[in-house]
Amino acid sequence: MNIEETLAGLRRGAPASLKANVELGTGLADGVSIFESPVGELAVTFNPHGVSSVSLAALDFEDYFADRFGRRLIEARPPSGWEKLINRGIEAGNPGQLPLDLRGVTAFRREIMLIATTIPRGEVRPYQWLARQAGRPGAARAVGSAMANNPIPLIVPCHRVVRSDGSLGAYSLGGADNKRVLLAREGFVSTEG
Amino acid sequence: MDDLPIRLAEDLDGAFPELVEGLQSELYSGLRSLAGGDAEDLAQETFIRAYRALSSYDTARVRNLSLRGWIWTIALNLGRNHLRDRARRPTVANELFDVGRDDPEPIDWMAWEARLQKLSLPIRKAVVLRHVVGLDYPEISSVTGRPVGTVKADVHRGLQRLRTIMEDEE
Repeated sequence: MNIEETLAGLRRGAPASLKANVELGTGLADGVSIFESPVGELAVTFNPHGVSSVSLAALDFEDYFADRFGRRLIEARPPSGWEKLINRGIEAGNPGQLPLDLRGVTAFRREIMLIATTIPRGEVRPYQWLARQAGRPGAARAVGSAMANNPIPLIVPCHRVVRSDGSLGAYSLGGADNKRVLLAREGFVSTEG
Repeated sequence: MDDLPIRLAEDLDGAFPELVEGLQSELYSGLRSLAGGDAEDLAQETFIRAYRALSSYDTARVRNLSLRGWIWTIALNLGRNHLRDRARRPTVANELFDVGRDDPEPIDWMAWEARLQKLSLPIRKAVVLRHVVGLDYPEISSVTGRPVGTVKADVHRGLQRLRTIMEDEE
């Protein structure tokens, strides 16, 4: 083999991690990692913009994610420092300094999510209250739908939003029972039967 | 690859993985010959910067890109600060990937990396881009900013030097 052929032989396949890391780094795919929570294991997804979704790991979150966001998921580690912020966000029921990717969320729903993060731990607010805070007192139903479609439940604490008659209402992260578990853990006792 | 610039201009997110698949082997191998152990990081950073650049270019510019030469221009201009940027991004759980260990190694990579390191940087670049990566002389000239004649002379001198290095080893 002459030297030119030998040099051509130095060409070889790239490691499989290269393409996956490029997809993660460009945001063409989201990373997913499993975190513990009071309502069981959570699949938390993230990309360079922030955390994009939280769902119960026991459910078929891959299909849910593909349907809702249209991107691929790759098992991955979050960017440096985010793991701690995610754990803290789950524990506190508040994003704190954790970046959130809300690109696919409408301006109104984004505002409602932001208002929800102002509800202190251990307290609840009715849908109507959030509507008023957003300057749209008649939009309680739209608030309900914003909360039902909250892509980042628990960290954005839609579990603290209840019906005006005091009943808990629905909860996207595994139903009303989980809502009750989370609120009880925060010291709020539901009067609901 | 021929109509890839057109498809990148039309649907960047849809076509970009194809660009990565098409160029990752030569980019990784070339960078490994030039820079050694940082090759995967450098290749990753190159593609991510390429994606960002493509997102900001107008479609006419993307359509007219000569992709291989363009990617290598980005790769050779990378600074050292890419390692800092990397911490800000998600990364694959490494245990899922048996990084590069499946490939048989018919060639003593380490020995060749060491030999190439003995060439001066401009000559090493010319030799690697010509014979490991397979760019033609006009492409190398455009990537390195050196005239075609100089690049040809660099490659010629580099090969001679490598022959001498190997003779000295015997």
